[in-house]
Amino acid sequence: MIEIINVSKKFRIWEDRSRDLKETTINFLRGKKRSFRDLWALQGINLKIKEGETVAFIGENGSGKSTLLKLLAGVYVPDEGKIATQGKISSLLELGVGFHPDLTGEENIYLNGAMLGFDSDDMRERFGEIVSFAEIGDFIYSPIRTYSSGMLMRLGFSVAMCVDPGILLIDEVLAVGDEAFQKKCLKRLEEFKSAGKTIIIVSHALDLIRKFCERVILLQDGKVIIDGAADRTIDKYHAILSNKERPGDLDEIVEIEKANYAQRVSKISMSEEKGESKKIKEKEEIEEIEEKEEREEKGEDEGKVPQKPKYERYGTFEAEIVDVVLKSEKGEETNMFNSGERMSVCLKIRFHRDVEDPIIGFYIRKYEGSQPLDIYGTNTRWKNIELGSFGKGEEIEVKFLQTIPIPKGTYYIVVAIANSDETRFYDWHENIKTFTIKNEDRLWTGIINLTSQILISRCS
Amino acid sequence: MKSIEMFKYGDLIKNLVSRDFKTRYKRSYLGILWSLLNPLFMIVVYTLAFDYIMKIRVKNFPMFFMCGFLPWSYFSSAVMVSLSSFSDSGYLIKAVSFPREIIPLSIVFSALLHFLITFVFVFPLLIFYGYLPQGAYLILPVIVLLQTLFIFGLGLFFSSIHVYFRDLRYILDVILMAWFWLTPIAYPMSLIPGEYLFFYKLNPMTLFVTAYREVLLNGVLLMPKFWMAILLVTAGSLILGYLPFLRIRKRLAEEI
Repeated sequence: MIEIINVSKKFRIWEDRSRDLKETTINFLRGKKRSFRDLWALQGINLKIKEGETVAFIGENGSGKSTLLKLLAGVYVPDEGKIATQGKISSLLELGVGFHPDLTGEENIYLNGAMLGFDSDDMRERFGEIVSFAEIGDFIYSPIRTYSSGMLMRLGFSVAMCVDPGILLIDEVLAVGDEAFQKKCLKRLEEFKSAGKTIIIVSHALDLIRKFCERVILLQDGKVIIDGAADRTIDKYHAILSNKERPGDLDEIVEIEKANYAQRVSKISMSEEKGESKKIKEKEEIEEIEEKEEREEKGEDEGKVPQKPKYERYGTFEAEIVDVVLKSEKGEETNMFNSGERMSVCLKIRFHRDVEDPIIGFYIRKYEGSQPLDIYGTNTRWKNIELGSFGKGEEIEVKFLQTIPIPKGTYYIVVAIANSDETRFYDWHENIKTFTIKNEDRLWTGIINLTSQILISRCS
Repeated sequence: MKSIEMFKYGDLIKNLVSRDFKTRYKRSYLGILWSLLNPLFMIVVYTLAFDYIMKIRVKNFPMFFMCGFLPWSYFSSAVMVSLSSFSDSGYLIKAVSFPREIIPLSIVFSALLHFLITFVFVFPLLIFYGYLPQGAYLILPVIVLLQTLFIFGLGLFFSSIHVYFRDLRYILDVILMAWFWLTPIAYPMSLIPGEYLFFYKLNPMTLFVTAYREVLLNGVLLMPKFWMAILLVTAGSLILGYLPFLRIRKRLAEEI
């Protein structure tokens, strides 16, 4: 068991730091002060990891995930709070710690084992296993400077995989090696897992994490953002990630982000209907996930409780869809339509960067349970409209006009703007609007009214 | 508490020392022989210079010099190698957790091993020159142990400071050279003018060199006052080493 209680860790960032006695003395004599700022890599982390759990820390670079792992490994010491662990921790932060090129594979195995906290007797017992796992044969008695990089990596990994830790900490080392060996290691880790070892991984290999870990913890800016079941956390992370993949100037991004957030919140309160509020705020979403997980833990089947489709937003935000309005034939804003009526989808777009020939489109979508079904979608490219170029700060309005010959029900609108070859989405709002087709007296059947003409003639 | 914890890491220390030892000789043809020949060669050179040319009046100069020079070599090489030990072991410190003082300690142990190996020729040479083994020799391990602790303290001191001042090597070079000549290794204490004698006795290395000589050459057990002085400098050195070390210990992984 590992208990992380209110742990914070700061790093000291020096401005043109001197590492010299000479320079330091000169600076001191000149009265130049050493200046630094504190960077809090982790703040107020509280986590409890039970024995036998397989946990992954994920997050962007600089989110603090590796720092947290290093704190658990005892490499770093927390500035605040404390970490209590039970069980022998074996940390695999790097492969082949202490390997020396001039020593033989055998000697390095013992050395590496000692680094990981296993004594010579332990290592002697496992020596045969390690050598066969590493698949390096007689090379084991040659200095490792004669090894290929693949062999070296396999040797390092084998030591780590063959020792017997209670708690195993792994940092990003899983992604190395050829596929066959990687599979072998994964199999090994599965064995550890079923043997009830606690395994904590830091990695960017999300697919691997999804397969292997039960619990995934997302860190951002040194804080735990989401802590929950693997699938949920990773899906959410993907959503956040596509929001963050924006090139350029950070301040601008932060500002856009703030504006978005405010706008989103106000939109939510506006589009509340029938007492069913759409929880779109991130925090609430997290709570929702947590609630859901609690339900899952209680053994409730997910499939039986249909989820209300969620509002999601991705994009690079080089251009932004700042407003979406649905209007009736008369130009009034509404979300109630009759089947076959004309509806216009009006978008307001703001450009934050010079953009050329963007593609703007929308979908009408309905849900069968939790399965989305796109009824119709179009975009400016399919309609052969070249939009030309737009400058930073420019705003445009785009209006999609169409009849909606669709049956009674609730529908959702997805709007998006992408670059000219649709390789990058500037902004993608999933389920940003909802509307209802309300007319009861339907004189056709199916999912779309094809407005058939019926011709009858008597055969003579 | 920390130092008790260190016993659990005996295996790690053993492995680090043996790594250091093995790698030092693996690629050199003369191997361990070189570490025996080197001090012997130095003894010959200093004997030529000080005994034959400068004619310092010391009985059996080669043995007199050897008994001072070998402990000095142990001291100076261990401190010199410890100096950058933290800075050079960044990859270790960042990857695994263990009491950090193990790093300079294993270097001191490795130097100790070299020192002990030289006794292979020390005892035969002493006998050759007519110094027969004495009962006082039994106290040698204590002197070696105290000197090792003394060296470890200084090693810890310099290696901790080196993390912040990477140019310390040049300064330490000068310090060690001066220290060598200010310690009665190549000349006897009797040549030192009376008014400076007090300062000479403040030099911890004078104490150790004298201790080795008294035991090996004269078979004399040292006076309690002398032991007190040695204990004092050893304790002082450990304190000196741990002061900066304890300050940086927690941040070591980040500062390197």
